[in-house]
Amino acid sequence: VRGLEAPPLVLRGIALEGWTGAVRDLSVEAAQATIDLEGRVAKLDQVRISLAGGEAGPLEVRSPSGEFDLARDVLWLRGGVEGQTRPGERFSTAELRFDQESGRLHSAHPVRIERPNLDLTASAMDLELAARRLHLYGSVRAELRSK
Amino acid sequence: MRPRLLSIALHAGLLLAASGAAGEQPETAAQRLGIVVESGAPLEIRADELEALPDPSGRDRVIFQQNVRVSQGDMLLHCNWLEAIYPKRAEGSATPVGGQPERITARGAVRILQAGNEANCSEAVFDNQACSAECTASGGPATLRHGDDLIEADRIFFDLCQGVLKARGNVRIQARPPESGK
Repeated sequence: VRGLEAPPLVLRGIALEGWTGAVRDLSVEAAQATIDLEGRVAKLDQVRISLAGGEAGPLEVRSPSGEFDLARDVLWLRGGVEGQTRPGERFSTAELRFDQESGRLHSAHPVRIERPNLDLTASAMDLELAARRLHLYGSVRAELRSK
Repeated sequence: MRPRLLSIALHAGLLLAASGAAGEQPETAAQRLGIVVESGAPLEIRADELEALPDPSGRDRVIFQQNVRVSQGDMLLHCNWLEAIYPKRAEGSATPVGGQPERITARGAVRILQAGNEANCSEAVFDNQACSAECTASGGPATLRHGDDLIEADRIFFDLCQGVLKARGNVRIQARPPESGK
C-alpha cells in the first residue's frame, strides 16, 4: 500500500486566487509549490501574497518560503517576511501566519514597522485585516521624529 | 535645619513664570517650577502593548498600554495608558501622516519628570501645536514639585515652550522663600 502513495506534486510558477463574490480577497504567487496531497500541505518558495484591504488598498507580503495548510486555510510565511500594510507603512518579521477564516495576520516573532518619521518595534504582532487594526505586544518601542 | 516654607491656599487661577526669564532676575520659587520640552527632539515611547487603527475621521490613533514610558530630550513621562492622535490624512489618502502626533493624552498615574520638576496627575493632555500640556487629577489634586516647593491644584496648565504654568481650582502653593543674598 505504501508503494501506491502519491508522490508530492511539484508545480512551478503558481498563482492561486481566492474570491468573495466579485472581490478578489486573496492572491498567492510562488516560484514553486511542492504539494503533499496526503498531508494536504503545500510548501512554497519565493512567495508573494496580496490581500484585499478595502479603502486602505491591498496588503502586500513576500517571503523566501511558506507553507499552505490546505485543510485549515492557514498560510505560514517564513525566512524573513516583508510587507506593506498600506501606502507608506512597511513591516518586517521572521515569520508570519495568515488565517483566512479570521482574517488576521499574526507574528510571534520580533517585528518592525516603519511609517514616515515613525519606527515601531515589538516582540509580536497581530493585524486585523478588515479594520486594519494593528496590535503590538511585548517590549513595544516607538520612535517618533519631527518632520 | 529644615527650610522655612511658605504655604498659600488660593481658590482662583494662578499664573507663574517658570523659567522664561531665568538668569535675568533673581530666582524665585515660581521660576524653579515648570516643564519645558525640546519639541524638536525625537520622542520615544515604550510600553507593553500598542494598538493602532485608522480613525474614520481620517486621523490615525495609536494607543499604548501598560508600563508606558515616554522620553523627549530630558523629559520623562510614566503612565498606564497613552493615546497619540495624528493630523488628518490628505483627502482620499491612506498614507499615514508621520512625525510627531498632534495630540497626546496620558492617563492613569501620570508622572512627568524634567529638570528636577515632578508633576503628578491622573490625566495629562499634550497639544503639540499649542506647545502646551494640561494636567488634571481626580480623587486628589494635580501636583508639581521641585525639591521643597510644591503646587497643588485641580488643573495645572503648562506652556511647554515658554516655561509658564497656570494653576486653576483649589490652588495651594508651598514654596521656600529665596534665601537672602541670592
